[in-house]
Parts: sequence; structure tokens; C-alpha cells
Amino acid sequence: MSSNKIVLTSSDGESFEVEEVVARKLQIVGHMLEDDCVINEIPLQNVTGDILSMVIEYCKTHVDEEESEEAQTKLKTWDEEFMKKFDIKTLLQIILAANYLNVKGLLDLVSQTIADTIKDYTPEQIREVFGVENDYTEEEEAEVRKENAWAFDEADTPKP
Amino acid sequence: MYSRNPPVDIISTLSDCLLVLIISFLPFKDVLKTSMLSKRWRYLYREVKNISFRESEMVTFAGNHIDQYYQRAQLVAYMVGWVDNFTGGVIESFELCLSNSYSFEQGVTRLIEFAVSKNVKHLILDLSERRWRVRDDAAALERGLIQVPESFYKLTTLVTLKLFGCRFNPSRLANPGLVKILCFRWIRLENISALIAKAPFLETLIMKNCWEVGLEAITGFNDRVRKVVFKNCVFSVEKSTLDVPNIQIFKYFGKVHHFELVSAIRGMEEAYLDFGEAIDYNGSTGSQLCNLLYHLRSARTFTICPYLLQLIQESEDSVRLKERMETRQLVLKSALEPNEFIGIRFMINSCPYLEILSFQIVDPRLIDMMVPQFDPEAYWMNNISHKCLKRTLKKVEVWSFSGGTYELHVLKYLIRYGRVLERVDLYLPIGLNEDQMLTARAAADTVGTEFEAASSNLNISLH
Repeated sequence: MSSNKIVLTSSDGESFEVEEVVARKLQIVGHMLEDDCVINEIPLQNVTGDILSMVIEYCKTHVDEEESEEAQTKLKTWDEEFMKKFDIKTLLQIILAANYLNVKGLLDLVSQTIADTIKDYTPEQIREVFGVENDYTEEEEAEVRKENAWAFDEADTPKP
Repeated sequence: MYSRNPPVDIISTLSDCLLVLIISFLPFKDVLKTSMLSKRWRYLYREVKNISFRESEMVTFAGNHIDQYYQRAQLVAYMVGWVDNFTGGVIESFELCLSNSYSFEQGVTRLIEFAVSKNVKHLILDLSERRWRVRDDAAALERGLIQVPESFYKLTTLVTLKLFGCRFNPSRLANPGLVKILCFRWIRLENISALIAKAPFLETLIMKNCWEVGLEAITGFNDRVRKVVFKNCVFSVEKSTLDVPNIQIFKYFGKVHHFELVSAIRGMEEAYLDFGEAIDYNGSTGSQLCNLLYHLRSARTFTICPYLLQLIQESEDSVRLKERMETRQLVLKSALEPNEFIGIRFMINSCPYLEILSFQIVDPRLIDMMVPQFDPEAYWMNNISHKCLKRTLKKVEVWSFSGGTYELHVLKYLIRYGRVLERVDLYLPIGLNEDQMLTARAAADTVGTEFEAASSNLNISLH
């Protein structure tokens, strides 16, 4: 395995020296390396140092994705613990970073975590999380409800 | 908790694509609710990657048959309209649960074709009826069951396939190369071998209430198979050969079927063999079953039925299995009838590492067979101990304990010889009348106070 080191620099000038195999987990880096293999310093403009360090932590842990059930379970537990560290605003920043850096596994993991968090939120709470302003009129709201009426039918309270 | 408040504009830079990704992990109903958030969110749900239409969540049926027919017709029209408005790309999963579907074949076909056109990975199609109880309820209606459309057979993206209560020809699925999970209920599976032979990544195979199951073999080609479950199926082949060295869970419930396991299996989690009300057997059944037992002997948890307990006596060696079983927890479904005694002792003797022994007392299922002559009253008084009683057996449970004579005999024996026994838990069955309750309680008292115990650290309780 190559032990080449690569330096990743965040938008706010923080630098991280990582193994090439770790850096390649960021597909954006992978593509750059394919284009020109002598790069050893890569500026990443759309991600700040604190978020980038999280992404790197994830990539280091997932660097060899083993098939065995045991390894998978271990990784899964790690993922859960890792996600517990962040509040939802941070999660949203990580998802942006994961999208920009193109780390598929992290993208899914964060999406799942955000979904699990907002699952029990009221619409107001969800609006707050995503910075959404309700711009419907009452008539429009009624119209939207009608479109998938069954989903809004709260008569069927959660079954035990 | 790692926390900071980013400027709001970072959040608003989440693209629709990312929002769709996030909401795709929500339950489908919650996905639809996001349309209420704001105009930007109005139609995001139409791109969601996981779609799930479950009749039971969507409609509460009321009125007579005709009313219900119209309710269902409306529901199907809604679903078809929904997929027609879909604007997303490929989808991960599509689930459809609909009863009395035969009146709506066109709509159902349209829905399946939609999922196929979106290269679905996980397809769940449940067209079964809640009133179906036994296999024949469905098999009798076979001609009326909806047939999966032609386009389905061309799917190459399937990872999970669950089909309940429809018609489908397994051999025609052209490229199931990615399939990991197959689950069938209420369905004819004549050519299932052809499908399995084309699915090298298969991990889980579950069949319940299926008929004409033509499972000739699971071969070494399918070496990733980890879980196989059969419940109340009938087979069109005499024998199924299973080469499944990595299997973790094997469960069989139903009439006796001849399985021939060919490779050694190590470190299994669970084996479950219950041949139900079976009473027929022939000269080779006993050794066939012991052979199955032999191949599954690495299972940590093993469940055995009365039929097997009795048939064990028919095998070559009725004292113990030819090799040690690695079972830690043994569950014996038994009526504790004398016919089963030799089998029970055989099992205890074959499991030298046994830690938990559970009896689930069931109604007698006696097989008419020649049994060795012995005095059942004296059988458990014999001065014979076994390895697990001396070293490992920590817990004995009796479920549906009623305090019958032989229940007490067996308990007395286990308590007398269980040197490291820590707990004996007796569980009363539900629905005892007062007299039965008194008998059971008195019996439990006897167990607790009068039985001589080899272990000094024993706790006996009635629940």
C-alpha cells in the first residue's frame, strides 16, 4: 500500500497531512490525483478546517472497508458514536462538505442521521432546522394537504 | 456535543438534491408531509428514493364489500397518479402492500412497471390476503393471483426481492446477479433452483406457505448464504441438497422434507427443526434426520420438535450423536411422553457444552412406532449422568409447566445431577383454571422443597 502523504488545505487555511489512501476516500481528491499524479498539496475551497477534520476522521476509520460481519458491525457502532457528537446544524455542514468532497458513505450516514433526528419534529421545528419560511397561504396549504391526504390524516395515531 | 451556529446562508445552500437525499431516509408518510414546509419543498417528495404504499397505513376500510371496493379503487388510482407524477431518477426501494388486488391488475401492473423503469433495488410486493391461514387458501386461488409483468424479468438491479401472493416464474428473471435477499410467501416456486443458481451473492432465503417448491440445490456457488428459513412449504422435489458452509441460521417448520447438507458448517448461530404434526415416517427417516442434526451440530441455539425426539430412536446410534454438538442453548418442544425420553436423553448426552435447557411443553404428538421396552416410571431414576450436567448446565426452563408426573421426573433428575445448575424457571401456561393452577403450584412447591439438589447455589422459581 502506498504511504504517500498528501496535504489537504481547508478554506480557512488549516492543513491536514494524510495518507494517500485516506485522501482518496474523498473522491474529489481521487479525481485530481488521476488527472495529475504529482500533486501533494490540495486546496479545498468549500470546506472549513473544523469540518474537514471530521470528514478526515471518518475517512481514516473507513479506509479499509472489510467485508466480514464483525468488521461491519464495529464500523456501524463507530458511525453511530461518531454522529452523536454533532448537533443538527453541524450535521448539515458535514453533509455539504461530504457532497462537495464526494464521500458517498458519509453522505448517506449523515442523511440518515438527520432524517432520524427530524422524524419526530413538528413542521415548525423542521422549518427552523432548514431555515425555511412558510410561504403558503391557508388555501394553498389546504391544497397541498389534499394532494396526499392520507399522510396528514392524524386520526390513526401511532399503533402500539 | 460539538456545536456551533453557522451563518444561515450555509443551510440554504443545501441543494434540492441533498434535501431529497435526506428526506429519502424518512418514513414515506413523513416524506409526503414535507410538502407542507414551504413552496420550495412543495414537490421535493416526488423525487424521493424510497416509496412505500401500504394499504393498512393509508386507508381504514369501512362499510360493505362494495364500499370497500370503491375505497380500494380510489387508493389504486391515487397510487398510479402518484407514480405518474414522479419526477426523480432511479429509486432505491418500492413497496406495495395491497389486498384484494385481483380486481386491480392493471393498476398493480402499472405500479410494478414503474418500479422496474426506475431500476429499483429493493422490491417488496405483498398482494396476500389477511384471511389466508394455510397454504391451500392461496394455492386454490392461484389462477386469480396477479402475474408480475414481463418487464420485471429484465430487471438487473435487484438486491432484495420479496413477493407475496402473486404469480411469478423464478427461472425467467434474467439477471439476478446482485440479489442478496429473497423472500417468498403464498407463491408457487417451481423453478426456484434456476434463480438461485444465478444469484452468487444470495445471503438470505425465506419461504413461507409456498407450494411446488422445486428447490433441488443450493450449491457451493452460493457460498454467501447465511440464513435459510422454510415455513409450511411443500416441495416438488424429493430432496434438496444444500452446500452452505457459511450458513448462520437454518430454520425449518413443516412436513418432513429430505435435506442433504454436504459441507461442514462451523459456528452456526441457530438451528430450528419442527416437523409439526408429522406422523409418517419410513425406514430411512430417522437416519436422515440424525444426519441433518449432525450437519447442524455447530448451532449455538437448537430447537427440536417431538417428531424428531421420537425418530432419533430409529437412527443407528440412539445413545448420542456421532460427534459432539456445540449447542449452548437447547430448546426441546415436547409433551414429555415416554416415547420422547430416549430422544431427550440423546440430546442432553450429545450436547456436552449445554448451558441452558428449555422445555416447551406441547400437546402430545405421538408417532406410532416400535419403541424399546422400558419402565417410564424408572427411566429418570437411573444412575446416569452426562457431561453437561457435571460441568456446564446452568439453567433449566419449563414453559407451560403444569406439574405433570413426567415433568417432575425430568426435573428431579436434572436437579439431582446438575452440579453447576443455578436456576430452574417454571412458567405457567396461560388460561389455567383454578384446579390446574393449584396442581401446578403444588408441584412447583415439591420441586423447590423436596428435590435433592447437586448444586448448592440453586434458585427455583415459578412464574
